[in-house]
Amino acid sequence: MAKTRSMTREQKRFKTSEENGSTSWSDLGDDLLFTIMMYLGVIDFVAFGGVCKYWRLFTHSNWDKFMASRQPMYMHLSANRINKKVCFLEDFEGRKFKTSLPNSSNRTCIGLTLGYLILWGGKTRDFMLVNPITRHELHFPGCPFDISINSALFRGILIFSHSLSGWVFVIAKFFSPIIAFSVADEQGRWKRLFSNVAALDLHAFKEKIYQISFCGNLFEVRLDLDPTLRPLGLEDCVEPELSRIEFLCSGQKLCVVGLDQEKEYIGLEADVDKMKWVSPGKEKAALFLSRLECASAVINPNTWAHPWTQDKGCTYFHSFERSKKEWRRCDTSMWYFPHYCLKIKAAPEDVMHV
Amino acid sequence: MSSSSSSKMIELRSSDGETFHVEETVVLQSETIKQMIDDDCANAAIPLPNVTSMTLAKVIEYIKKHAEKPKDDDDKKVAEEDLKKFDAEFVKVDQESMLFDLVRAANYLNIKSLLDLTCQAVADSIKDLSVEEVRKKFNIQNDFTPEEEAKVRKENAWAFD
Repeated sequence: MAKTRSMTREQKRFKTSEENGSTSWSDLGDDLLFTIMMYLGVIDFVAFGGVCKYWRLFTHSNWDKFMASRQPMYMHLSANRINKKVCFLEDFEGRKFKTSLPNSSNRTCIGLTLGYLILWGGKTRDFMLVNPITRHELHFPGCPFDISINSALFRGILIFSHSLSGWVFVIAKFFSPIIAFSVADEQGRWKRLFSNVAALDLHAFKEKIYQISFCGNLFEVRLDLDPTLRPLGLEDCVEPELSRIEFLCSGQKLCVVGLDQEKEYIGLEADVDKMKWVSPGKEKAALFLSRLECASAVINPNTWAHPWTQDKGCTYFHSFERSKKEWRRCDTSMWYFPHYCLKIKAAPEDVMHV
Repeated sequence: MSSSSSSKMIELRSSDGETFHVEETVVLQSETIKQMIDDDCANAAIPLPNVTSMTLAKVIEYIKKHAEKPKDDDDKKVAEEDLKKFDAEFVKVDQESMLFDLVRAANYLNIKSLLDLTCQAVADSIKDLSVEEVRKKFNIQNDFTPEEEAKVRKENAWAFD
């Protein structure tokens, strides 16, 4: 009864506003809706898409554009009483959110790839990948490695493989010559690729997979019927004096970063055409480093819709230019990059029914 | 200062027939009107069929304030702060529909700073609201099927901390 009454009241209100010639959203038009939407935060944007069918369609068709223009967010995971993972997020305006991740009991976060957290089940010995923004999950049962897995020595990447026509989870243990991979819907069938070099890091860039070896050589990982590791034959190795080398996410370039002897971060770009490592160009770049090494990126601030406003007391954030040292750090969390949520829509089970 | 006092007056006519006299220097913030003046179409009153007198009065209040020029650098800082306060107060409108009218007017008159300000204000008014609250506030019908609704609920699992 109460429901009917409130409906009538709403209808009445809607009618009145129409009579005044000021229906709110319906006649705004897509351009204005877009401008307004670009002022929302990532979490608001997801909520915005949950209001009605049209807004859902609208957010999904502008998903990439929106996410690509968002600044990194600060993410922190902890476990609640029943050992479920609680995910804390702080956006670029300093607004804080939290959510608990389903099916996350007794799991450890060991990495981040393409917007998905990699949760490892120590007892079940399986991987669950969950995107905390879309809540989409991918499961990879079984573990091809017989020893324990921890974030410091593990790297996992999610990539869409055309040759295997599916989403593939590729994993490597550092200092181990084995790379293993599994297609998303092939329930735990892992294939292995043996090489004679120990891996230091794995990275997906422009639909290709790269590995950097312990000696600083760059390889391309090919997941064909006969998986291979192809040396790219860059003229020289990454400077031997660099330590803690890792790949950096950057939409435009294949980059690595490492610490030199003075403990300064040095970035290098692999110029595959010229077959050598070069210093990154002079353009503006912000470097985001996380304790989880796979969650580091270099970003051109010009891609953000709004200027960087908050002074984040967390993680490294500084420019590639050596002279400008701007260090901000915190060792317990990671950066979450909304612009790597880009490909989520194409994930197999995540086709939106609008 | 002298230039503004000797500035030509432009006549604007709202959709409900009310006329407003505004200095040309002030009204040039509107790209749409600037174009009309450049095209020599501003000899008579400029008709603005998409803007009501109530909205137009607000828009004029905004562009007048934004046309004020500080005398020196010290004054500039004070003026900037003052303008920030003004903007914050300006978008605190009683009725949600007024904010939408301002968005539409800023878009039609092509005043970028006002469009940004009002669009951000609309976005801010959505932030921190639940999906149900947004629907209620803007009279939007929930047209999802129960299955879609369940999916949407699953996605919107974030809460404020």
